Amino acid sequence: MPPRCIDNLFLRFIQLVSLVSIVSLLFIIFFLVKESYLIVQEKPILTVFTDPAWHPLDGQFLLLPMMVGSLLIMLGAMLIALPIGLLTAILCRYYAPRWFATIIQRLMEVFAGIPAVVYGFWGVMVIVPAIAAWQAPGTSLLAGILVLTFIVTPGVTIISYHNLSQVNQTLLHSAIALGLSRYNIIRHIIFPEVKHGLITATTLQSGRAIGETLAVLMVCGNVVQLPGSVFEPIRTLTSNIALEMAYAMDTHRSALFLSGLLLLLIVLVLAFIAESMQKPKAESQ
Amino acid sequence: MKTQWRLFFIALLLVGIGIGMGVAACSNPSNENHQTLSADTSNALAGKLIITGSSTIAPVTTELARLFESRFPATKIDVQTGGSSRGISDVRRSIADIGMVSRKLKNSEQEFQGHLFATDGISIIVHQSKSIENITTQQVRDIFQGKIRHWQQLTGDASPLTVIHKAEGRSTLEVFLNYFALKNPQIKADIIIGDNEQAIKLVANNPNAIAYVSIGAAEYAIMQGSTIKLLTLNGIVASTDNLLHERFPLRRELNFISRNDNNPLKKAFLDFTTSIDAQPIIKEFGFAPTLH
Amino acid sequence: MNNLPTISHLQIVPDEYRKAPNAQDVATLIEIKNLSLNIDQQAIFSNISIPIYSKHINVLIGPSGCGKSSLLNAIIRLTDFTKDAHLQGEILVANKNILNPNCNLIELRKKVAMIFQKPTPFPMSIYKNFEIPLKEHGVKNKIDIAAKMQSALKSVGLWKEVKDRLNKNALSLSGGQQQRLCIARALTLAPAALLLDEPCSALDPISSQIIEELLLELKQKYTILVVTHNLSQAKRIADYVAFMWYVNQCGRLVEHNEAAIIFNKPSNPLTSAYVQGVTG
Repeated sequence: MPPRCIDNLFLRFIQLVSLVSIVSLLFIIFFLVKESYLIVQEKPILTVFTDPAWHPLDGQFLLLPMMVGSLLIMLGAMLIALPIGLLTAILCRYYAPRWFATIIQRLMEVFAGIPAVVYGFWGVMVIVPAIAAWQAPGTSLLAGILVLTFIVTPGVTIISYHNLSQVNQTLLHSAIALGLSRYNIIRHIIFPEVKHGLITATTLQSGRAIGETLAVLMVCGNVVQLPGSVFEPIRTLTSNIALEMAYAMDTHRSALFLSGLLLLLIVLVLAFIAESMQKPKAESQ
Repeated sequence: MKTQWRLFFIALLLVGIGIGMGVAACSNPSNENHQTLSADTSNALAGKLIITGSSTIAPVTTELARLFESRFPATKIDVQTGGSSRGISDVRRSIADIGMVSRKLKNSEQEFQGHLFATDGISIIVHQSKSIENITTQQVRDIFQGKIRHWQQLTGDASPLTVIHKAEGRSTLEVFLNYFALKNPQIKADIIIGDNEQAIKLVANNPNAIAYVSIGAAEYAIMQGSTIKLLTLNGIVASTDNLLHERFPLRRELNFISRNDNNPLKKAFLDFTTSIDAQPIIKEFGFAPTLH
Repeated sequence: MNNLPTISHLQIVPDEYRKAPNAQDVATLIEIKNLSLNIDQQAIFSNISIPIYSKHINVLIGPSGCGKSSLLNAIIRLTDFTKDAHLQGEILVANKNILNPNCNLIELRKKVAMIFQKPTPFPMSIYKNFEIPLKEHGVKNKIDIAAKMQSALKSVGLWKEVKDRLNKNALSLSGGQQQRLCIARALTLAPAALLLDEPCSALDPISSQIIEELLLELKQKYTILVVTHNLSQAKRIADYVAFMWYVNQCGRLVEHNEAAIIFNKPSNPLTSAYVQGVTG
């Protein structure tokens, strides 16, 4: 086959594949909207903010605490994971001896590959009892944040490390040639260079954090409430779906699809925030 | 594509896949043409049955089905979970031949033919280390309504109670609420979980927790070395044996439901579940078999 | 380059470097002695000995891949950042061996500045480009920073062009201006020597000419070592020329002498072939 032909075929193939992914995405959204329609038809959409509680079998569909729960554990986990991941990556890339960096790198790859449910088990066996010994009942917002931190940190570290490796080598060398200290090189040269990539890392891992279900379900306690402290249990949108979908019928089921739709909206908003954070840098160039 | 859009799509895709998998896990079974029986004599049983419903009943049904299939090699029995409500709705819509319902049939469900094949008890469990053996109906009501919040009032231990409750829609929850005459909004729980196994794991790791689970699941966990124990309820021991003799009050029926029709394969399977041969299997799962 | 004689004809690779005959009385700032570089057991260059004469323009010529840039990197120990790189021999800077493990690298890099092939202004304002290295080396006062920046920019002839846009991003400058900015930035640290790695190869001819003129001026005050591919440029600016070639992918020094001798009557036939081959 002439190369031009192969090129063409390949192009068609790529177009097909991307079309399939976009169509299936639209299909999922359509499906969510369709399945949520029942509840929206019966009660005004704002009831998810105004109902007194979540008792779907008694016609009360308050989803607000779960939205807050999802956002809180995501933000909490990212606030811890981001500095830890970034500092680990910097340590490995610029300070630590090579063997140490290699060990950390491999470890992170292994940790990133462990299924979240394993972290969940570990959370139930270790983190929850540890918190319970301090502040009962242990299953809490804090436990969720900690387990989630363990789940997202490897990803943040790997992506940060990868970004650091992609810093323009000549720029780095010229900074070294000017006799700059490592701290100043990292602060003035590397950090501005990798900021863009870090936003990407944050967005991706935030998506993973807010979408995480099983591990969170196992350690958060799943009581539907606005938590008064980090020691109180919470329920996330994803846990809500996983806990109740198997047994849900009619409006209950539809309300669960609505929580899926809300989750999607939250992710959308996050993606747009990430986008607006990237813009100023793009314009300055 | 711009980076932002790529990111955006990846994020969408991640959530989409997550939800998609969740949905797929609870979606309906394929509505294929499965009601073809080749012969009308029970010696030559053949064909396929679809059974859906309660996740409490599904494991034992799967075992029963395996034995049944080995007796009648031309048959195939497909068991899927999804809760009692799903069992009912699937049979109503003719998607499934048999529904598994882990409670008494409601009045609105009299259109179905019920087949009570076993009884399951629900027991209150605590950690082994707790110096408590018995619990009363009033104590359970007080604990789950948040009136008793401390072990002080039960055992004298200086530690707060951790109350474990089940998510809305579970049949264990319904049986529990019914027996103790509680409404779900009255419950003040510290932890809400989905299945028995999760409750057992939490209690095993938290000496201050209290939960209710299926007796069968609890006995099985203890056999596996779990650090939980079953409390007697108003002095009655929670055991399979007491269930069998209808002495333990907090219990639920395990029913198969189906439409009134003459499907010989279905009839043969239902009869099998209450035969002498099925009893060891049912007992193995911690349930009390019904004798016909 | 196929018509050049192959290396087997030649008895090159002097074991002892020779000072250029007429340069006995010229001081050397940097002396490279029997220097070899291995990266991951692969020899990059071996047994190189070159004196770098003070306040002259020393030029390093030779084909791509003969280790010229690596040699330059070695002088300020940038090779430390290459995985499994190993230097052997001596590099004396002001009579101190900088390969000594106790060598103060920050001081070394203050004393010997380096300019890269691709201009490397930091992606921030012109002012910040000066502020960061100056602050690092103890100049904290804004007035001092501004004064040092101004005099450095003046000495590279960039002051008039940028004085009204010091807060603009340095990347908005043209390639030639960026390169001069980098030279100015290096000069603020008051180095004794400037190493330039093909400083004009990414620039247009006019910008190249400005840089060349600048180097001719700077040699009054600074010791300059330039790596270049451009032989006509070497002819225009060089006082001394070292010619490198490679044997089995390993760089060797062929000849080192005054520019006029290298270009007109080199002692080695390979040098003459290389010099003429390119000049035609």
